[in-house]
Amino acid sequence: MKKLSYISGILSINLFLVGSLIKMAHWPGASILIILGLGFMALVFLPVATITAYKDEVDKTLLWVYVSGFICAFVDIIGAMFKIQHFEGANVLLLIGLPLPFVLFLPVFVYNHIKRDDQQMKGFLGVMFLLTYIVVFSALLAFKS
Amino acid sequence: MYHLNEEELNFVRKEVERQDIHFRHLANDLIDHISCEIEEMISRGRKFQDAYKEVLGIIGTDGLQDLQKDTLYLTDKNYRIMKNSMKISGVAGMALLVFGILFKMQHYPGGDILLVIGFLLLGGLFFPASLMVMRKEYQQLDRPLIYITLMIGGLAIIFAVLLKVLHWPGANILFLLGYSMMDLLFLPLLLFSLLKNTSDSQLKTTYVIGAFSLFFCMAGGLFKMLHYPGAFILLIVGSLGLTAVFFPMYVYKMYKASDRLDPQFIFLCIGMLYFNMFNLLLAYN
Repeated sequence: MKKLSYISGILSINLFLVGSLIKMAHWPGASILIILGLGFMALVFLPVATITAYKDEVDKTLLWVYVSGFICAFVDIIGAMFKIQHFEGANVLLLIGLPLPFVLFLPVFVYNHIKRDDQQMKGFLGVMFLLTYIVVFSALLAFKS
Repeated sequence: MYHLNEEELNFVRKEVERQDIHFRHLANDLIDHISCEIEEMISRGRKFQDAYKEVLGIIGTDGLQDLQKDTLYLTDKNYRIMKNSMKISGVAGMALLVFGILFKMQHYPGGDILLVIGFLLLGGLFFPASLMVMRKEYQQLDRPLIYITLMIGGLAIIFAVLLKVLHWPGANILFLLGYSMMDLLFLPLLLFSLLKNTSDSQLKTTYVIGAFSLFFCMAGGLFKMLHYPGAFILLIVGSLGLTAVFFPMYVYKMYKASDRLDPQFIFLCIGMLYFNMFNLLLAYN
């Protein structure tokens, strides 16, 4: 399971990247690669990796951090796939998906962080930097066009 | 004067440990102090157990715990204030930004104010405080210049985005300043520091590839914002290098030895996905 998580994670990101590049160049086959990449990520990598990581986790009280993280990433990835492929329902998915990490995952994560009185700042800083990056660039892209 | 024997000393040591005193210096001081008090009382004709109970009575039952709390609080007070303000400002700033974006998209009034306050909190409080905390936590990157350049570069980019979103002037100059700070100063410094601290040659190659890819990505981002030619190629080379070459190599090196799946890996994957998505959207726009 560990190996499958590593391979599926790296593979799906690369499939998505190559698919997007092909799409920009207007070559054929882009859609299949993008759907494969994002679908693989949402349906194989995310569940397998989350379950494996939780099984290995020493602190079992972190269950909700894993669950909320999974839900947010899942909705966002599927939303991105629908949007890129112009499937129906993409806008609804993104409208739910964009604020979701901040209203679901962030409170759960911060609550757990404070409850455990975690003095290790590495994880906290990593999560905060990624979320800052997402929100700043979302703002930029949302108002650019 | 009476001296405690080994057995009695061990008893005191165990009692202090039982009270969950994990702050090393304090524990040693306490053991020393309690032992002295007991010796004093035994010299005045008490038995060991009675003397111990009396000393404990003076300190109070929860006394040791309270002492530890006070000690930690005093030695770490400033650091703690910084940490707490960092956490609060980070979460609050993020929430304000999200609502600001939603308000602005729906054309409700007040979106601009929310955005400005959110960006100020994130850029003015959270970002500097988190860099200082980082400096304390990651001792291996101990060059202050790394943090200074990251701070100036990051702040410039954060506020450039704010100006751009609000259509105020000056965004492009800030973008230029921020991106060139990151690209020409921060990245090389970080790379040199990382190379100096690793002896593994494969890991060194990985870092070099990563740094160059990131360099191309950031240069591409800057070129795109300023409408210079060549942004597209730079962004694509950067993303490909980062995702297809650096990422697998890094994961292989870092997690090969680990016998459990680190949640950090999931986090990294999602981060990479977002990074690529934003880069590609930027290239496409």
